[in-house]
Amino acid sequence: MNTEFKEIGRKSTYKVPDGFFEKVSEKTLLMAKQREQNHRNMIITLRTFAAAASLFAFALIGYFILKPETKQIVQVKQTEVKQEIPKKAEINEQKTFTETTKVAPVKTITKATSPEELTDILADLSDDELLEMAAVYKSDPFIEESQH
Amino acid sequence: MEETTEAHMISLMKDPVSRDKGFLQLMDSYKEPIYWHIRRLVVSHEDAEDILQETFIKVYRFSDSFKGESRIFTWLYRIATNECTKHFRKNKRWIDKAVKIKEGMTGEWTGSDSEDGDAILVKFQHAILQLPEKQRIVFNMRYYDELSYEDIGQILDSSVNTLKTNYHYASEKIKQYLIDHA
Repeated sequence: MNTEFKEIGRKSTYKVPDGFFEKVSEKTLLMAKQREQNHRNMIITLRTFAAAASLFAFALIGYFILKPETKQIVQVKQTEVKQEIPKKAEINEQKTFTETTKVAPVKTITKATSPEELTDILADLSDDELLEMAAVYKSDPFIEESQH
Repeated sequence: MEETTEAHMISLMKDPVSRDKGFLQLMDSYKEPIYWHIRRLVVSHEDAEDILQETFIKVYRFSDSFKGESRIFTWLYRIATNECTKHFRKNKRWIDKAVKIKEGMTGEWTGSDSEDGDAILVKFQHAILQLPEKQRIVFNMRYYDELSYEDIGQILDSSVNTLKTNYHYASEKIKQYLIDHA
């Protein structure tokens, strides 16, 4: 037992409202039950929210997993197209080149009128081309008919 | 309170069927000492009522977690003291409110027969209010609730020597306050 401050004693200076201790137990029990119910409701809400959030997360992950694949496909297609385009262009260039090489002598021969021009053109032709032209000349019956 | 009665109340509370009955028995047994412990710390009746209810709501909610390693009253004191400490942290200006309430009490007693006795009592409680938090809690538990240092040690998680030192310093400061304000 503590004997200090003997002259003062342990008397309390505080007052309590009438009937406070009689009512407080029932009141606290009601509050405790209410609090527990709220706690349960909060847990249910949190679980629902967590389930919704996880579903959303799955959907989001799925979206991000699929999205890069579509991009890759598009990129692959684009590169294929890009690769195709130069090929076509090359082919066109090649075609035009062959056409010009084949057609040009014929056109120049048909259009040539003066003997100087004709000798210049013949001078530009290679031996193979001259041989080819000679073969065409011999085999073509209409050339002889037109000369006669 | 006998340990068998304590154990009986706890066993009632742990059974969902008799939970409310056990709770009411427990609260009826301890509400007054716990209320006064809280009231001496926070001074205001409204705050003390809120903290008392909060303490027993926690007891109702966490009765399953009480393992019986300590006595039930030390468990209750521990929850109540923690709630008071939380209240001090939340309401930084609670001391001003407490001092105002004390001054109001002094005014009420002016002219009464026990004026001198009550005046020294108010001064004494003023002096307790000036103490640092830990010393105030230890002094109240030891002086008013007459708890042993071992029990206070269990409630506050402190060693007996630390508590004795706290009490000694608190007593010295109160004596000095009473001399200064004589």
